[in-house]
Amino acid sequence: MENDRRNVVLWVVVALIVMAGVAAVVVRDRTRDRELPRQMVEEPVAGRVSEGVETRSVILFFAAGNSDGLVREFREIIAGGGVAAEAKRTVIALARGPLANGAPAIPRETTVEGVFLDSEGCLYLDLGRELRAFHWGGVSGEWMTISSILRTLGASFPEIRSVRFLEEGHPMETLTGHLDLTRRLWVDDWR
Amino acid sequence: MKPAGKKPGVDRRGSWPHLARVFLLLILLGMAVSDVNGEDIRVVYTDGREQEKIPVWEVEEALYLSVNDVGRVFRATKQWNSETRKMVVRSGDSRATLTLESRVVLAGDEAYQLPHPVRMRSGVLQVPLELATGVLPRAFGQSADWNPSTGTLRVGDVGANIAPLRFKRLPRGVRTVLTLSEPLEYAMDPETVRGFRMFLPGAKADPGRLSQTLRRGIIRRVSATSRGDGMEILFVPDRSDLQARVITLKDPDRIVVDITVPGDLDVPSPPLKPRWALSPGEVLGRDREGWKLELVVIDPGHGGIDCGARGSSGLEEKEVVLDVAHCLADMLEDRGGVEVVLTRERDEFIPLRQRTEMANALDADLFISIHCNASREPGASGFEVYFQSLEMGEEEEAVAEFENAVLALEGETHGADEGDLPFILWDLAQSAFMSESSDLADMMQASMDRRLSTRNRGVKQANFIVLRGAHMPAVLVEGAFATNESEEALLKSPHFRGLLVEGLYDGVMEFRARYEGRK
Ligand SMILES: [Zn+2]
Repeated sequence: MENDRRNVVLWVVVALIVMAGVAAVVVRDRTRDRELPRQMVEEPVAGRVSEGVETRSVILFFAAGNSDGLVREFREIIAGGGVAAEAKRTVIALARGPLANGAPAIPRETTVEGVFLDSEGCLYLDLGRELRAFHWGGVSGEWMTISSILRTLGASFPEIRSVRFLEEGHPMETLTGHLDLTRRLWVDDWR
Repeated sequence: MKPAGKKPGVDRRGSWPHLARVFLLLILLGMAVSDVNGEDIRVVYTDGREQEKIPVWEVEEALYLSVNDVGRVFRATKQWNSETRKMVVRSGDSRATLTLESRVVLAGDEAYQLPHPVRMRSGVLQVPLELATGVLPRAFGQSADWNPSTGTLRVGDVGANIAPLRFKRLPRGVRTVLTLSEPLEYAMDPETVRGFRMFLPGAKADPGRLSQTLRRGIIRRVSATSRGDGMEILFVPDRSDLQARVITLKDPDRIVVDITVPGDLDVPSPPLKPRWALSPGEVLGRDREGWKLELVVIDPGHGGIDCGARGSSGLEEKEVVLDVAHCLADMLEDRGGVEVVLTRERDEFIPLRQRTEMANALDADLFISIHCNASREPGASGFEVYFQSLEMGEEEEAVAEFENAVLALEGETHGADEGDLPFILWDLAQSAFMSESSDLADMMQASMDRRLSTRNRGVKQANFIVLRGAHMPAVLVEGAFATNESEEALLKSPHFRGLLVEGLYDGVMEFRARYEGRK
């Protein structure tokens, strides 16, 4: 009888431990999965291994949400094609928005028409008209967009020293009517 | 209790406590293995990249990193094969092959042994720290230095305290920026036959990484050599009549060397001497009585096809700012006795550069551009006043020291084309009024703060196309966020607009009180 009672107690303890363990694992995995990226169309899943695809890790800067700052997120992009091609994929990933914290700093609709890196490390970033058409405006909004692009490219590609914004092949004067984009912007100035 | 049932009971008693121990062990092990301990390690680069923090997983005695982070640190690509359970990490022509749940790393002809096996968690390959501190640097022919006490990994030219040089073209020369990881002294020897020789005691770097042949500009090449307890950097020009100027900057520590063709960097005055060619002194004290506030140009932002920022309930920036501009104009004229001209009187689009050109042509004494802010984040709120920056991020003292270089810098992207000269002049126009514009911004921000109960976001600086070229003190005002629901409601209310206008008016009057009569 004594033994039986001990058995019952032991069973209860074991059951509790197992339940706690399972719960812990489930909760942990849920938290993880929330932080983890969803499958994307053109890019490998951020972070997770992707079968047969050569990837490279880049740092994306997104709007921090309720402050003026930026938050960084590590992301895997398809590698290859040189700095300009990888920079293009990075800007596309930036436009898709964050998978973890923060908020997008670029309209989701933004398209990248072309990229070219000159011998002085200036990246000519030719964007579709969607960037301006879908932008929410304001100096703060404009600042956030430009700094998110400049910081992202600067952090991931030391070869890129400056960026010149173009819209469908033509030099961009300004994004939302305030900041001066007629000249190249130096990555170092936006750190 | 029935004896018949006792036998299985014995069995249970004998086996379950053992099973429980196994369960318990598994659970504890599972927790120990998969818990992120939240610590980061710091990675410091010598290739000019910003330092970063990357997460570490502590598993019993071992420290694990995500292979994605390690790949980024070494600028390597990764390719996973689920059949072979192998990942190839590649940097240029070098590659290293990792195998899941194995300690062996194959690279070239070598086989390296990690102290712990490669593992997979939530679809991410995790690798022991030693892959980053020892194996990959050797496999890729790079260097890395791990300091466990500070948790810092230095990657690249680990002994170096100078990052690879950066160059900027100036219209009359070349700017070289030496980014340092600690403050260094320098000695510049200008009188050498071969070029400009700079000695940096205590400097350490791979000379090969610092030396460069430049494709353009007046500097043919920059060559670095280790000499004694420091480094010597030789700037070899392609002509002999050049001058060098050196300044040091902080945060991060930098030494800036400008090598230029000598001569007056001041732009020659055109014969007609338009307003933008007058000196600030001539503008601010052009009468014998000194500066007087007679004419203000107010620029209601956007207009016509450009609606500016939009609120969620349909408020348009172009409409609000036109009304605020009209009210401010009335107040300045009626109460302040100042003449006011608006860059647009109605809902029409005026090209951005034309707005400051108008103010210049009218010989205005102040230029105020009025806007509403916007953000993708609906919570963003508050008011702010901006003035024009010369070059973003440039330290103020350096700007003061380097007035001529600023002129050069502003025009640098246009190269040496003759046609770019007016733009250089244009840029210089607003920079000449930087301290007055800064004062005006301070006063307007403070006076708005006294009237408004919304968030004071402070005075800020940025490089605006709308202020560029204004040859008078100029500011850009952001009254509130159209994208913030409660501020959008405020912007719609005549009461708030009234307070905003009062605040702006007070700032202008304060500025007048301080500057009028000054010679
Ligand atoms: Zn605006």
